[in-house]
Amino acid sequence: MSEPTGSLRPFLRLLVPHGRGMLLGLLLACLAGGAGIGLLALAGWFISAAALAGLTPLTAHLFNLFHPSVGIRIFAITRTLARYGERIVNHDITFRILENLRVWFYRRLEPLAPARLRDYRSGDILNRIVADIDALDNLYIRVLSPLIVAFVVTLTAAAVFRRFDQGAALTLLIGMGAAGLALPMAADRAGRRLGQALARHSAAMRIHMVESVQGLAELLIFDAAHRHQQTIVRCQDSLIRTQARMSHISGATSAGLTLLSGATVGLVLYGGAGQVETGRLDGAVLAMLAFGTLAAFEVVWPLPAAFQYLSRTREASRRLMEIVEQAPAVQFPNTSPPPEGNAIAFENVTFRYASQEPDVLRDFCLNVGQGERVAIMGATGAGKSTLMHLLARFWDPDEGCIRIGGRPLCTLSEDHLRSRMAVVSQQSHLFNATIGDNLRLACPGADDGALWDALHAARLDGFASALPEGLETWIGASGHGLSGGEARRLAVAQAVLRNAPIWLLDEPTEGLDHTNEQLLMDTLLELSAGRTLLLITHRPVALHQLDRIVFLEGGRIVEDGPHHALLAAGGRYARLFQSIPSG
Amino acid sequence: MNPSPTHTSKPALNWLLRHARTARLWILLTVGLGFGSGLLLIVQASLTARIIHGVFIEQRPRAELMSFFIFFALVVIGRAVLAWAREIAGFKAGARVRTEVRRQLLDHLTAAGPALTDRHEAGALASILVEQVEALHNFFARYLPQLALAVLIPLSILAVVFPVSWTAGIILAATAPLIPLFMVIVGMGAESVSQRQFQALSRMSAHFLDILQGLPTLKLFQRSQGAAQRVAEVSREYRQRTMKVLRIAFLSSAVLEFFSSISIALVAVYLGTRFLGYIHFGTYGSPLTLAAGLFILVLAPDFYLPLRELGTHYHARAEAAGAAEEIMQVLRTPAAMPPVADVDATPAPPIDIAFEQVRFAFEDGSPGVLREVSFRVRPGEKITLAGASGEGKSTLLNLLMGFYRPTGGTIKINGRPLETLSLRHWRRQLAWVAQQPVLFHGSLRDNIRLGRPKADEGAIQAAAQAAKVLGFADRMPHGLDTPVGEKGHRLSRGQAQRVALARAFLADPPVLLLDEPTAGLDSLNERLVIAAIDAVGRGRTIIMVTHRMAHVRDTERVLTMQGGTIVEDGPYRDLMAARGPLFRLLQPPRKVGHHV
Repeated sequence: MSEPTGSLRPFLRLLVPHGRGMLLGLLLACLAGGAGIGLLALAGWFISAAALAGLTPLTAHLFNLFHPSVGIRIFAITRTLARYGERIVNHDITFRILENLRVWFYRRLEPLAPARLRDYRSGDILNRIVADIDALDNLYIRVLSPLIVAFVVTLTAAAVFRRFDQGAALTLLIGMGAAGLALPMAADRAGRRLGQALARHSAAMRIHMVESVQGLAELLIFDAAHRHQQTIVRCQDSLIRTQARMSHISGATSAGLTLLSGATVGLVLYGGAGQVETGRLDGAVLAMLAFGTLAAFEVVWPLPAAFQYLSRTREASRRLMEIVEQAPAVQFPNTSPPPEGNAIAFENVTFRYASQEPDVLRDFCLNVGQGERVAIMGATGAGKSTLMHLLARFWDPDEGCIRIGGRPLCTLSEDHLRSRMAVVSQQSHLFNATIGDNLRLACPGADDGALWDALHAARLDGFASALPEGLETWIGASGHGLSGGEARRLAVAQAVLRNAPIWLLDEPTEGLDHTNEQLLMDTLLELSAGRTLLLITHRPVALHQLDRIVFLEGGRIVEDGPHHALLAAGGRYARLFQSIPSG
Repeated sequence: MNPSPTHTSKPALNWLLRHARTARLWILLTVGLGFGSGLLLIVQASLTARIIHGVFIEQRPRAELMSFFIFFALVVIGRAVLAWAREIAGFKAGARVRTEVRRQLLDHLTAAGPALTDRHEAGALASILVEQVEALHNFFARYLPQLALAVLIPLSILAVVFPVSWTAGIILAATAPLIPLFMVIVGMGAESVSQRQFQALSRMSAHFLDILQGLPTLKLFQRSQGAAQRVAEVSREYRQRTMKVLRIAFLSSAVLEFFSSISIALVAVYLGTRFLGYIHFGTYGSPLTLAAGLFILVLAPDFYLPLRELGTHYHARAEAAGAAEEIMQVLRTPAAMPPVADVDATPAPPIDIAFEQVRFAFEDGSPGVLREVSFRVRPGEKITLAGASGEGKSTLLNLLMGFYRPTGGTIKINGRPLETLSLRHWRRQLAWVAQQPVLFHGSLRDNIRLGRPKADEGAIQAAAQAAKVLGFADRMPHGLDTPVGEKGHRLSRGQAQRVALARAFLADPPVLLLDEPTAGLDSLNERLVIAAIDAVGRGRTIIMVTHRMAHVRDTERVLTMQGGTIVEDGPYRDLMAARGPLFRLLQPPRKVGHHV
């Protein structure tokens, strides 16, 4: 194999704790394979020997019928039971491995989120990660086990053959080796480039397909649906052409397997016939060898599939290691003195998400006193959400320092930092669980009363009480769909439950109409009294009740002051405010 | 979560079998090739037996048996060729069905329009069109042919064994009536294994994905460390639940294995005792030769082989049936309007639009219901539809575009009911800018010329200029050739709106439909989009849905919608002065207003 197999090593290590179970599984699998060969080989020998002995009555009577027929029955039963046991044991181990694998991956991924996973955000890529793990789950049962079993059984069979006929043993080794190793490897090699083309073509088809679904209205209105359909058909044609070439490879593989097994049996017969002719081999043993060879090829059957799987597994593990081997973007000290107070200070902070991207914040300074409530405004991309990311320490600034209660963020333990903050971010995730469970994430011990209070504060109680199952309603990907605004307000309810001294709210009123927007703002202002509040918004609603408004543009503060002062100044804030009809 | 049924639904299977007709010849060829290979296997068994018999019993020198060896080699080569050909023929069968099903789906997609796509999440629908159609392949390429072979090959083996020894034939045949039973057992086992395992695995994967996606949220709540525990628990539950099913499911294949092992053993013991003269029946009175005995013994395992192979293809059946169900569901969604034969009825500008008591309700009770909507838009008129969200404004546009059909009343275009017009021609009179315009994979230029692929450079430049696209395109690395859409440069919403406007400008239809073109834009982008609308809309009928009135001129006509009907219709200035629904809609109902 030309590629370094090293990429599979971390996963092979995960198999070690299951060594004993795997040994049992392999033993049973080898037993089943061996018994299958033994059954046919012994049966072949038995009837041949019996046929010869039966030619004369005397030898017929001397022939020991008992031992071979018992042996045949034992092999038959062993084969059945060992196969059943092997399946149970090996599947059980596979699931145990899977358990370790997922926990292992999660533990390595957890410190990387979200900074190092920014590029993996979209559902598609995360989906692929999950699929990659699924692919690794089967590493043992689909790749390792059949390979080891084929190896052991082939060697054992060859060793037994060798006692009777060296030529037959060698033929068997070569034939099985070619069928079990060389042929699958050649097929794997031939298919590798096609595999890439296959992935490319199906990705292209998928992109066009998603577009034609999302943009169907546009395509119909602009009379482009037919043209777009042609594009998809062209993608499909190239996909099928590539698949056709792939099916030639599997056709060739299966032809090769047929040829090799046929040739091996033929050569064992041919060589053996010569030996029998010269009297060096018993004719009944020849039957045994021929039948044994026929049966032996059963263990190499699954190998072409195993090899195909191996290259997929290797690719999957390469991608996973690429993610997991990154260094975390932030590291928290294990313990720290608690911050004194809840003032926030950005001191000459410069930050960009990636080295090739432009600065989002440059030399940024902002002081928010304890209990002060500040709105952050500005156009999309002005750096508002970045302030939140930095405060939550999802990222560290490239230069400068951020302090909470006078202490630099990087000296605070994760618990000290997180327990102080309630965050409503643009990406808050709703889990596939009930509304109640999602809320209790923020405050594990909360009773239903507290949950309803939080929902009420977030103006979501009406929505929740209208649901037939109330707090027990399942939400998230497979549950009751929530609109973007409802999801955001659920996050607000979580933040309320959290009862933290610092609130960071990113567009909490998104998706609400005027009336509810006002009402929610009122509640938030009421509940945030005495807390330090950073409110990101682009809607100038109820802002006169805040202490200050900070207007960002291109990562800098361009206006900073209370509502009335900014209005009077007639700058950007004032213009924005006037453009809203309600003013 | 409700566990889906363990058994494949009948309609799905019927659907699959109906589609087998598309590829009937290829499927038959696949069966024929597989059957040919099975017959050669019988010949090979006979040759093997004769060679051993010749060498051992007749003690003939190897050289005398040369013709057997050569024949043996030819048979093996023949089987290899057939195996290869069978693979290809099976592939053709699957590919043909996939192509046909995908064609049907695409045609249906175009015919049913947004009535279909609005009901499905885009990714899910696309995956039906891509992955689920692919999942049909192995049903036709492997499962169906193997189903036939699982009957044909055992029967042929019986047909050659019986003339040699009826006892051996009976030993095999005794299990033959069990074959259909085996098929059911194998089927039940394999199906419940693959389906349940599949389901359980995908459910667990979904759970894992959920946790990964929510990692930042878990962190903020200090719950991310504990989630590792949860991952372990879910995996453990999955193992315990699945193993319970598997223990039983594997029994079915164990039964098959048992029968195959036991009948090999029985055949061998029978043959052995027959040779030794302990029993004398079974061969119609003639002596049994070793060749005949070995021939039967070689064939015994092959008798069961096709069935075992069927078991390995069984998941293809479950997978295809699952896919078929989803595909059928898509195909069942009816088209919004039946296609019209009367293609002469092509509306031509000037366009006069009239809604007459139009009613509409979604089947599933989604909001956006219309009750008795009547209004008229004269050629070149500009109207604004105002109203809170969910009042049916977008529904109204959808009806006008023919994506849905009114449940009552008529929409008349130049006096003719919309459903009597060719939709394709009617839509040529329209341009539409969606709330979230879709940009297609390709360059900015490709996206602008969506409606007029052959437009010349001058026209494209003019459109890009009018819609204020050039302003940002010039700052991009490749100007109008910059790739956008999935995998391309990400445009902001305001920029995407302007590209959509340029698209409309270039298509140059008499009617322009705009759906909340400025919602959620910051003020700079809003100004740019409005300027673009002004430039693009000149001389056209404009119907705009919005609840931002900042840019509506005093004299422009506004229709206010409330409760699914139009409650006000008049110049903006008059409606505001009347302090009616529009005024209330725009005025936040708060005691404490802004101190301005």
